[in-house]
Order: sequence, then C-alpha cells, then structure tokens
Amino acid sequence: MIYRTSFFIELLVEILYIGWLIFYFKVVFGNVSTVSGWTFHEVLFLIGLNIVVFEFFVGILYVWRLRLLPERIKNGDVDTILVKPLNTMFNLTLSSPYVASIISMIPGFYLMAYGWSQINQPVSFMNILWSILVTICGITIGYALLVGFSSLSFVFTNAKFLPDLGMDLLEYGQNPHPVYSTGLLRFAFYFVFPVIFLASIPTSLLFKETNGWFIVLAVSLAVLFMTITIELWSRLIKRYSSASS
Amino acid sequence: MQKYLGIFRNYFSSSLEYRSNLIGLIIKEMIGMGVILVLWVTIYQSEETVGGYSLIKTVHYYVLVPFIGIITQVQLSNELGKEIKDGLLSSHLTKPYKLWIGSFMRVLAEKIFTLSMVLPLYILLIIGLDRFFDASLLSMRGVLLGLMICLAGFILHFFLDLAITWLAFWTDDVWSFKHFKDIIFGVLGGVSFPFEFLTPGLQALFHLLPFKFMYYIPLSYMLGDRGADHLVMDLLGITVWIGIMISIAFALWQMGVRKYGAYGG
Repeated sequence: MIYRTSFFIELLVEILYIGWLIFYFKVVFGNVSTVSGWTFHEVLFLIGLNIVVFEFFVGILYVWRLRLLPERIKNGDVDTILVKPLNTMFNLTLSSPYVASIISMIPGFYLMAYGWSQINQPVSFMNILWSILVTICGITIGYALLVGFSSLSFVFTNAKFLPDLGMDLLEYGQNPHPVYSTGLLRFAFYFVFPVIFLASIPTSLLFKETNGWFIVLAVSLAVLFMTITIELWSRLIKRYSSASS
Repeated sequence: MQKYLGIFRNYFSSSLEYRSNLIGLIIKEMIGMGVILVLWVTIYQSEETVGGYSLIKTVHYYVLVPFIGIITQVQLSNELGKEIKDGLLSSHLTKPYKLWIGSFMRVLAEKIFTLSMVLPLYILLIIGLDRFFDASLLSMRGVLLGLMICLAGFILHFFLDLAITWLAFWTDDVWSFKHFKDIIFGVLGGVSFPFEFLTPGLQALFHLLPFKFMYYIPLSYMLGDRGADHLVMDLLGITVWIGIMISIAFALWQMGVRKYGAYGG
C-alpha cells in the first residue's frame, strides 16, 4: 500500500480480468441458452467461485513467490530461506498477500451471491458443507499442481514459463465440468489435472446433484497430489546450488 | 547498423540458450487455446452455426489465434519495465545506441527464433485439421494477405508495448502491464471470440480500435472473410495507428527519462 499508483493499476487490472470473464460468458450465452445443461446463472456462480479461488492463488502464491522462483533459483538467491529452521516448500511458496488480488475476491463473492439469488432453488445445509469441503480439497489440489510445476525450476534453468503453466492450467476450472466428460478430456481433468474440483464440482454439489463419488474422489486426490508434491519438492530442491562464495 | 546486428545476434543466441522457454510458450498457447476450444466444441453439439461460424471455421479460428499471436505479440514491457524499476536502465543509457532500436532487434531476434521452431509444427497441425474435417478453409492468397497484416500488426504492437514499458518510470510494479494487455487483446483484439459472435453495436465499437489488427483482421484474411479489396484501407488504418503509438511512446520516453534516477554505490 506504500505505492498507491501501482496499487490502483493492479486493482484496475484485476477488475478488468473479472469483467473480461463475465463478458466472455455473456457472449457465449448470447449465442446459446445452456452449456452442457448449465444455465447462465449457474455459470455465473461458477465464475464467481473460480475468481475467488484464482485470486487467492494469485495473491498468496503467484505474484510474490512462484512467479519469481525460476529467477531466484537461477541467481542462487534462495539461500536465506534454506538456512531458516522452517519448511522450505511453504516458506518459498507462500507469501504476504498481493493486496489487489485479495480485494478482487470481492466481485467474485458478489457474482456468487447474485448467481445464487437468480437460480432461486433451495439448497440444503449438507450440500453447502459438501461444497465447502470439496472447495478446500480443490484448493489443496491447485496448490499442489502450482508448486509441483514451479519446483521443476530446480531442474530447468530460468524456465520462467513453469509457474505460468500451472496458473494457465487452473483456467480450465472456469468451464462447467460436463464439457470435459468424454474420453481423454475426462481422464485429464478428472484425474491428471483435476482443476474441476476448484469451482465446478462445488457448484454442481450446490445446485445440480449430490454425487458422493465426487466427494470421495476430491479428498483422495487432495491427499495424493499433496503427497506427490512434497516428495517432488524434497527431491528437486537437492539440485539447488548457491551462487554465493 | 553493425551494432544493432550485434544485438540481434546476441539475443538470437540467448533464445537458443533458453530453449525450454520456447517449449513453455508453445504449451502455454496450446492450453489457452484448449480452454476456449473445448467449450465451443461442446456448444456446437447443439448448434449448427454460431454468429455465422460453423464448427470447422471456429476450430480453425481458435487454432490460428496462437500462431498469429507468435507473430504479433510483443512482451517487452515485462522485461524492460522491470529493468527501469530496478534502476538497471543506466547500463543502456551509457551505451552508444538508441534503446528503442536495440529493443526492436531484441524482440525481432526472439520472434524469428520462435517462428522458425513453431512454423513447421503449425503447418503439420493445419494439414492434420484439413484431413480430420476433410475440408480446407485456408487459401495461399488469404494466408499471404493475413501475414502481411500480421507484420504491420507486429510493428504496431511493438510501439504500443514500448509506450507501456515507459509507464514503468512512474509505477513500481510492471507485472500488471502484461496482464492488462492479455485482457485487452482477449476482448478487443479477437482472441477470445471472433467479432461476429458479438452484437452489431459492439462490433462497430471494436472496429474503431487498433487491437483488431493484432488478431481479428489477419484471421479474417486467412479464413477468407476479407478480400484484397480491404487491404489498402487496412494498411492505411494500421499506419495511422503506428504513427499515433510512435508519438505516444516517444513523448513518454522524453518525460520518463528526465524523471529517471538510479542510485547505487
């Protein structure tokens, strides 16, 4: 907040991004009435939740940490973190928030509230709980994916695209999951890059169907992905070499 | 001229050194294309045409977007803006060359390297698409006209990006600039959807802006929606916008460099 001009530019950009997402789906629904059985207001709730989760990742993980990781590794600039008696993975990937992103969650919450009010459908307390549980699992999976991709920076020198790659993959979470319901796409987005658990499945649990299989799968994948990422990180960080004398 | 060719050679070699970034760029573009394509393919399961576009035309449109982007995109503001922010501009100022020409050579070198790697892949992809749909939408004439606009679009984008870069003299974070451009091109340039998907009012508005020259107009030529009769007017329009961007970029440079200060031991 010290640099007010920059802060307002960052905020403007984040709001423009949200505006672009809404506009995009407005254009889609200007041409069709439903997408794989999802109405505009259901998609609006999905976009809102996706914005909240995405901005959380941008604000806590990406801007001040993962985005800069390949360059910091190349410059041998992570020594100060390694000598601290703290977990290196959490210390190198989690940061103080990028304020503009945290504020940008507000329109996401608004879209969720607006979408919900227009759907006009009673939702049970249990469905809300399941939806929150799956969202937490989705965030865990998303964190594991982002950190997993970024940790490859220890192998590929100055590969600045790696953190971006994880963020780009998360964008698949903005589509309703039935669009990935066939063949290879289903395998890819349900099991390999399960970004459908970030927003689409939680939205579906609220308004479309209570599918116990999704809940079990979400919890299992969260545990599995986190375990793999911790293992991957601890192996790859051994390749780091300091640049100082 | 010799010194600028030297810069070109240096950056070309540097591109070779970090080849993994090119692979990353290709994967990134494919992911971006896939997010949109998957949604539209689903929509076409229940619709014959959307905005006058058939499935095959829509697929060609979105497949060609990243290729056009490789020619017209310029990502200078992120790197050079950071150098201004970190006070590293001084090393450029003390050298006997014009920074904007050096930057142009830098962008050109990276672009030529990228294109030489990506072009064969794209030719294979288009042949594959034609075989899959058993139809071809692209003509040699359309592709050449589209490429001509792409080159002009690249020059326009370079000066636009240069103007954005100089904004770093007044701000302390440049990351948002790149994000800002992605959004602008997503909507106003035709990356997210062809203008035909929009309402007539929005189409008219978007046609007034320069961003269409970076994606939508070249794609229209390639897909045969725009003929050679539009070429003179389009090139004239693009030239006017290049003139405007050059004026803005140079005015910002003059003001910014006076304000610039680097402090060190």
